[in-house]
Parts: sequence; C-alpha cells; structure tokens
Amino acid sequence: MGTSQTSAFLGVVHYEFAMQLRRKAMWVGLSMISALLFFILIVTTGKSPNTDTPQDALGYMASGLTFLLSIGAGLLLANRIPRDRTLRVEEVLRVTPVSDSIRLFGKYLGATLAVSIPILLIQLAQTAYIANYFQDGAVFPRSLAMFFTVTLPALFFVGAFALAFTTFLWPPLFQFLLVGYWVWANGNPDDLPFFTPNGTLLSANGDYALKGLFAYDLPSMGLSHTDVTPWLALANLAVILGLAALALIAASGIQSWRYRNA
Amino acid sequence: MSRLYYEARALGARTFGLPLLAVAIFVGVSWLAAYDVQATGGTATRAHGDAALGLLFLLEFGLPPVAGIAAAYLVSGNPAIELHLSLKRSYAATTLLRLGMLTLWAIAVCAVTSAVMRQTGYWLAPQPTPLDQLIWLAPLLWFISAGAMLSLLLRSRVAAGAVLGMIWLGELFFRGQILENIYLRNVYLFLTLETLPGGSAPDAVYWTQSRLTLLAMAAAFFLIAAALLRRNEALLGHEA
Repeated sequence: MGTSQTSAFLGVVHYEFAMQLRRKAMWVGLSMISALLFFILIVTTGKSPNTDTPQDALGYMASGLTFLLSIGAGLLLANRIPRDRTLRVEEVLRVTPVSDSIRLFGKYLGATLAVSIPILLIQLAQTAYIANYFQDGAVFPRSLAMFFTVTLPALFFVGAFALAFTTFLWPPLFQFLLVGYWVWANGNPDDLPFFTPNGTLLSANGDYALKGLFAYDLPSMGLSHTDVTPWLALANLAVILGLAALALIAASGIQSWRYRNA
Repeated sequence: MSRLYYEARALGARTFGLPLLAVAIFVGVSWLAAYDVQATGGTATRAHGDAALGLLFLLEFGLPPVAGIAAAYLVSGNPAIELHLSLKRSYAATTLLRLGMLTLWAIAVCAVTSAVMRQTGYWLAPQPTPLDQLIWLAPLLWFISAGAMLSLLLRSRVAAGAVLGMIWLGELFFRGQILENIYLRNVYLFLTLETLPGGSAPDAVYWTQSRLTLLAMAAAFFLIAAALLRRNEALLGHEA
C-alpha cells in the first residue's frame, strides 16, 4: 500500500513535470520578461554602489529575479486545476486508483519544479553575464546556492497558493489578487502606512535568505532594521514552506468538499 | 440590442465585475491609509494627499492592468469555438465585439472614477485638462490590446495574464532604471505617478509624447490581434 502510493505519487510528479515543461507559452512568456531583467542587469551591473562587486551584483540580480519571476510562476500556474475541469479530464483522473490528494500534491510538485527550470536557466544566463563582466567564475556556485535558498522557496510558496486558491477562484481574479498581494507584501515598510509582511518572517521574497546566508542587504529591502543570522534565515524558509504545506492541505480539503458537493 | 445583451451575458458578471473589484480594493486601501495617518497623529492635509495618491494609483496603476487581464481571458479559450467558426457571423467580429464591450465598460469605470475624484477634490495629477484623460486612457487601451494580442500569440490566456502581471510589477519595481533610459521612458506605463513631486520623473516634459506613443502601440497591438483572429486553423489548435 505504501510503495504503490509512493510510486503513484512519483508517476504523477513525473507526468505533471513533463506536461508543464512542454508548455510553450510558459517558455515564451518567461523569455519575454527576461528581456526586461537583462536590460536591468546590463544597466546596473558594476554601475552603481549597490552592484560594484560580483557578490552584490549577484544579490541584486537574485532579488529582482525572485521578485518578478516567482509572481510569474504563480500567475502561470493559475489555470492548472481549472484546466482539468475545462478539458473534462478531471472525471477520468478521479476514477484512477490514485487518491485525489496524491494527485494534487503530485501536480503541485511536478508543475512547480517544471516552472523553476526556465527560471533557473534565466538566472544562470544572468550569472554568466556577471561572471563575464567581473571576470570571476566563482559566482556560479554562489548563484546556484542562491537559487536553491532564495528563489526556489519563493516558487514553492507561490505555487502552493496558486493551486490552493484556484480550486475555487476564477483564474483572472486570482491573478489580480496575487499581484496585489505581491505589491503589498514587498512594499517598503517604512513607506507604507500600514502593516506589510515585508521584513517579517512571513515574507516570501527571499530577503531573509539573502541577508542571513549571503550577507546581501539592499537599503530598499524590508530588513534594514533587522539583524539576520543564518538561523533566522532558515526559520523564515521553514515558515514559508510550512505555509505552503498548509495551503496544499487546505486545497486538498476544498477539492474533496467540491467533489462531495458537485 | 438583444445581440449586445446576449454578448454581455456571455461575458458574464465576473468580467464586468473585475474592474469594479479593483475600484473597491484601491478605494478601501486609500481610506485605510488616510485613516492610519490621522490615527497616528498626522495632519488632515497629509491624509487627504495620501488618499488622493491612492486614487490616482487606482486610475493609472490599478484599472488598466486588470482590464488587460480580463481582455486576455475573454479573447481566447472559447469552449464552443468549432461551432462559432461555422456560423455566418465571423468569429473575429464576435470576439472583437466582446472586446469592444469590455473596453467601453472599462473606459466608463475609469471616466466615472476620474470625474468623482475631481468633484470631491482628490485630483492630484499636474497635467492640464483635457489631456489629463490620457492618464488612464493610454495605459488602459495599451493593456487591453496587449492582453488580447498576447492571448492569441501565446495561445494561452493564462500565460498572457501572467506576462501582463509581470509587466505590471516589473514596471513598478524597476521604474528607476526604466525612466533613466531615453527610449524606454517614452513607453513607461505609469508615468503620471512619477511626474508627481517626489516621483522619479517630476514634471517630465515627455509625458504627452509618451502617452501618444502608448496609444500608437495599442493601435498596432489591436490590429495584430484582429489579424490573428482570422486564422481559423490556428484558433482550432491546441493550447500552448
């Protein structure tokens, strides 16, 4: 029973990963936006006091990329669950021996990992530019470490909420609310007259990891008043991955409720 | 008239409701900001200024992208497309009619919002009338036509919404670098907010030129979208 559910889960992950990876619109859409990111990279690298060392340039690049492309990933994943309904395959998938929650978690893991591939490639291309500019190849391992601790957790966070909310929300409405949340959650706490998750342990934009693990602290980030140790950074990662897990559990519950009351 | 009523029902209350929801959210946040300023000992002038800024955000930054996402969603993904393509009235004409209805509705919401802002004394923008209607008209038409074009080009309305969402955020986050580039600043979508005192481009002289450039781009995107709607075989193809 355990091994067949595990192999079913891995099968779902593999299938959803392959399906999402083949989605041309994802590659084209993310490439279009990477043009903006490359423009920013070219005009800032080495040309401002925040980006005149390879480490600072990498941090600036990772921060901007995480901010912009994780929202892109969340927006792209907005139709994964409604799509099963519109294509009428949901009923067919429900009669397979795989349980509904395993299908949901497998879809989440497969689709989110697949959407992280073009983002990783964009990050590596930008790292190559930085390496060439500063003639320093040692930026690559640091960039990969940044991807796994800064960008990927943000993608897991946004992906979980994308799947959870679109079990009941209309995709364009979810897209609008997600962008609104992201603007609120990344606004500078000193400027905004009300509470924002930016700078708290709930922030999913990678600031804690960048400051605690890579000693990068841009003045406009929300952590200008906080001392971040590596443990605090890991605590932030644990909080946002925990929230992602909660979102998925809620999604599974909403989905079961919908199936019972369809 | 009954045709228009039918098309409006086909679009659904949620398509027309999305701009209204944006109005509600931005007005709510502006009120919250003004209340917070007053409750923490700020002056009434400052509270009024913050609320007016929030409303200008609604007009230029909130409504156009939301209308663009709605436009991207309505242009493709028609579940009865095979049937539609076989009818006497062309699919392109029907889709453009629906797009036109969304555009007129979005224009109406923006126009009423800006009139109410002016009447109640919350108007902050320095540009002179009647040119200042371009504050919202240029980005609105740009986002709607870009949404329609991207939805047809990418063959995926959600991916088109994703690209619009990333443009929306990218232009906000990277406005410093964009406004320093002499080419990109002419197509910066939220320029009016930056021409306010304290923005990144105060009293920008290229504001009118930028708005007209955006309108020209919107016209070009619209023509591309209209041309793409005529490719029947491509419309019947798979999602990307």
